[in-house]
Amino acid sequence: MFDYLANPTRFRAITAVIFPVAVVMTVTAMCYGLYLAFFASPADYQQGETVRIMYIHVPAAWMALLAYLAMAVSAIFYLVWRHPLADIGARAMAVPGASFALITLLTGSFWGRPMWGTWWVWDARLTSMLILFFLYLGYIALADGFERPERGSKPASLLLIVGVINLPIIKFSVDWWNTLHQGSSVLRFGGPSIDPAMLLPLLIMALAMLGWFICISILRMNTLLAQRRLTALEIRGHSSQRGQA
Amino acid sequence: MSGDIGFFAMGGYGFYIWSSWGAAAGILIAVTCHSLIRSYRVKRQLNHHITDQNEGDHFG
Amino acid sequence: MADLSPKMRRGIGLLLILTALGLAAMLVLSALRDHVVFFYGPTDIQAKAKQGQIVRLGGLVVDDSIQKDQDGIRFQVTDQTTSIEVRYSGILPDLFREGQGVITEGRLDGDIFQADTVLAKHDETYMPAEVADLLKDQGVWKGQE
Repeated sequence: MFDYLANPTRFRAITAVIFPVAVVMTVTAMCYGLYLAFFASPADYQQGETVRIMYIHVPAAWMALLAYLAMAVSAIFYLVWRHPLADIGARAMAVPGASFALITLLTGSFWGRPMWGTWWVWDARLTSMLILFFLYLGYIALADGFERPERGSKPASLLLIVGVINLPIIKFSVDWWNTLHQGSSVLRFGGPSIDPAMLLPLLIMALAMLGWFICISILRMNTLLAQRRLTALEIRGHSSQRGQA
Repeated sequence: MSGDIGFFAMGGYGFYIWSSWGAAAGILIAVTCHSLIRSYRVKRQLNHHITDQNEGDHFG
Repeated sequence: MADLSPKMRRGIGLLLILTALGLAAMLVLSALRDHVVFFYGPTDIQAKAKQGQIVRLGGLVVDDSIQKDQDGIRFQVTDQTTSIEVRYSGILPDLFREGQGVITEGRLDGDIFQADTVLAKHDETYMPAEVADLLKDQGVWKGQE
């Protein structure tokens, strides 16, 4: 199945259908999500209005983990099947993925200050999330650090795969260790411990961010594909010029 | 203006809530613009390149 | 091994690396188990902490235990087995209240815990105030006051 999708022409044909759908989904979910988050959802019984930070913090954290997982799966496809499109996919997802990690850290800080009484603590959850952000930065530096980008693909893919260990650590850090960060509210045994009126804006915002991530990843993949074509054409142009002289 | 009441004051937590959403919006918009600009630039270069080569084929 | 395609060999190689990494991570994590802990409960603190040693104490603030005087504030922190009296003078987080979780950094001075910082820890329950009131009225309230 992967070989079927891996053909660049077919990839362009498929994404030409997915892209507009994803744009519509992003815009719709974002508008509805903003309305729910600010106008149609109540304040929390303990945390008051600051619960509205959750509607951006939690979806961003989910997406930071999901984007990393998608990149790691791409890296496996690249390392085993050696298909350049898998590598391009991982590269395209790196910057949006890193932005989700950064958003999680920043909004968490703005939430922790008024509620916990601190901008930052080195507990297991916060530290492992910071490590995820550095893994993203490390991947970007490795993948783009070479003059010929293909040379960075292998070490960068290996880094992605090694870093997967961090994902279960982030997810279960609040169960395995005493942390300042509270336990999971949505994905936990016994069902969500969030009131439906607060769960809905959370899920809609997650949908909006997923849509945005799909749009940006497709856009960046197409750019990278065009870039590779351009480089190939330039090399061919140079060699034909040399041939004529 | 009136302390803790009103939409933008957010029960006294306005600074933290608007900073969070502002930072998130800023990052998402910046990445969107960066991706769009790079896409247009590379596509324009590619088009130039293709038309250049076609002209070269005609006259060469 | 000689008959395997390059694809298979790369796949098996990757699988071996992943297994080794997973095992290494599990070993490191189990070794770190005690060091990654962000705070200790009152029982652990009383049993293990030395006088004057900087530690973090975490637990629930006992109901009706908060007293304020010129020196600051004093309250009891409990893990339902042991309680320790905490003294603190400084700014309290907005979520600091009786029945809520709290994490304080400081040192044991006799039986009293002198705190330098106090952080609030909340649980994973989110609901509107009206729902919380309703649950209390119906007597099915399980959370904190």
